[in-house]
Amino acid sequence: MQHIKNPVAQSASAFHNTREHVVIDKVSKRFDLRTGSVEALREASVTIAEHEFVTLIGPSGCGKSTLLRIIGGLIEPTSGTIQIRGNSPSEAQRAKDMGFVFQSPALLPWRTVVGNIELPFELNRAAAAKRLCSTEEILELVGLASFAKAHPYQLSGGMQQRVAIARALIFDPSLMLMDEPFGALDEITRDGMRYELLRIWSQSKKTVLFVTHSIPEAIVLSDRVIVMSPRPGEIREVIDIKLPRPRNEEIESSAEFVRYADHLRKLLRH
Amino acid sequence: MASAGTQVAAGPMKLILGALRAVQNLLGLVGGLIALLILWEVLVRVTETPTFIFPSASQTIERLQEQIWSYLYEISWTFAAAGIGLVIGSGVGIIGAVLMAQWRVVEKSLFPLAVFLKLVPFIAIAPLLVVWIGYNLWPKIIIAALITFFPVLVNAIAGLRAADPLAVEFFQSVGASKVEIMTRLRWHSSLPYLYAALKLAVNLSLVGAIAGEYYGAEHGIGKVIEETALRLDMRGMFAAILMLAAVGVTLTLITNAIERRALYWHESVRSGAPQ
Repeated sequence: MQHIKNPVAQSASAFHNTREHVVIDKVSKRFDLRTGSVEALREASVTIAEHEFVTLIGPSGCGKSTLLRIIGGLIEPTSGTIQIRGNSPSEAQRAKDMGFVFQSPALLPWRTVVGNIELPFELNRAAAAKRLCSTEEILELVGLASFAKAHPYQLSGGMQQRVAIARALIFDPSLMLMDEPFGALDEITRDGMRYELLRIWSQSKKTVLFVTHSIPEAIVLSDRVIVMSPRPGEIREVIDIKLPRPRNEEIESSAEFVRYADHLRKLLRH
Repeated sequence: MASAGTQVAAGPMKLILGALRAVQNLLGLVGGLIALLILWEVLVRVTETPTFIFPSASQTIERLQEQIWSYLYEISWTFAAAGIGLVIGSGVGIIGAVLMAQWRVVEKSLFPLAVFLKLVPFIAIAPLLVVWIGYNLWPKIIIAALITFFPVLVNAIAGLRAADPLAVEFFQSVGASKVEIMTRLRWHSSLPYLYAALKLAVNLSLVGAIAGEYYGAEHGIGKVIEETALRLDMRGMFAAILMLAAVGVTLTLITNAIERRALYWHESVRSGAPQ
């Protein structure tokens, strides 16, 4: 197995020109509970291109987190397939090609900020330890340059979440999976983080799959918004957001933004 | 949420404040001890209790001064038995917990056995062990190991399982192995639980060792207590118990200090919860 160190890096060249990064094909998920089984996701199919920023939006229980977890290889689909640059999710995991950011920062409280950010390099050493940039540079990128030696408990919720983003970016995965990363933050911090994430994304050019239930967040961030509906979780509509980039706060008062927001609100109401 | 600059400036200040607080705590402790000794002395004198029933504080301390070196020597035997038993019992407990947390199969097959072991009152088999093995250290070591094993095992399993599930998922998402998740995440997450169990186990191991000594020993503070009881030498007995208490308090202070250093990141230490 020594000679195939990094299956993704090898196949990346073969798949790069197709521009398809994540292909989701008829993915369904059933959870068996003691009270019976719940259909969390029904036949979700969508293709995400390289460097695209795609948001999954929908009410609670529509299967958006489930879909993200299946793509991340954390749970197995009941049926259907996922391909990430031609590989399965577990292959992509083994190749360290995905950066996960969760609703809570999930940092290791006994480690400093730097210790947390560099954690991925200590894990799964067999996979190529690519590096996006130096730890100092990534701290600069997420605006925590003066907190390198602080411990998580000394940071605010927003700062901790930025550490989690840095930890997912540092090993240079091609795909970022973000599960309501700003969900636990207050509205003011959340507004700021939105544009901060856009700035970071524009500098690193990752493919991002972002779960949220905030309509403004979805519009501001995305190239495309996937609207999902609950019971069973299904993809209802995929909307292209044709707002010019780079985007800043002013975009939220534009007529186009309001139109997208109205449309999304109507879709989500049913 | 201080910036790095103020943190550096606060460094020496924090140190001084910390030292002051430590001195304050120590003064409180010593003050409490002195008050207790005075109360003891006064009560015994006022009630005119005979010495062979309840010696006064001054008589006890006087005897302790005479006997201190021989008692220290005896107590070191007790400590050796308790210490070796603690290391064996908690070591087996920790290894067992790691294996059980890693593989459910191991837990399913071995945990019931551990529960069964826990149900045996080991103090009760101390005489048996002495008959079988003799007056040496081993019966005490075995008892200490047996009674420390279970609380360490149970707490360690709980701690290893208590790792932040999202952190576990992050480890999985970058293809970390089970061993990596264990050594870099679960182990650290279990430390607060493990320290809580070890603090309990330190006391339990002493109880076990002393109980073992009651049933026959060449050395040990338990043997001293037993002998003084037979001779109705209450002063000697109280001196030995006082000595044991003093050493016990010192031991607790040391384990607390170690815990605070190791778990600086944990809520229980940062909030200054009672130890």
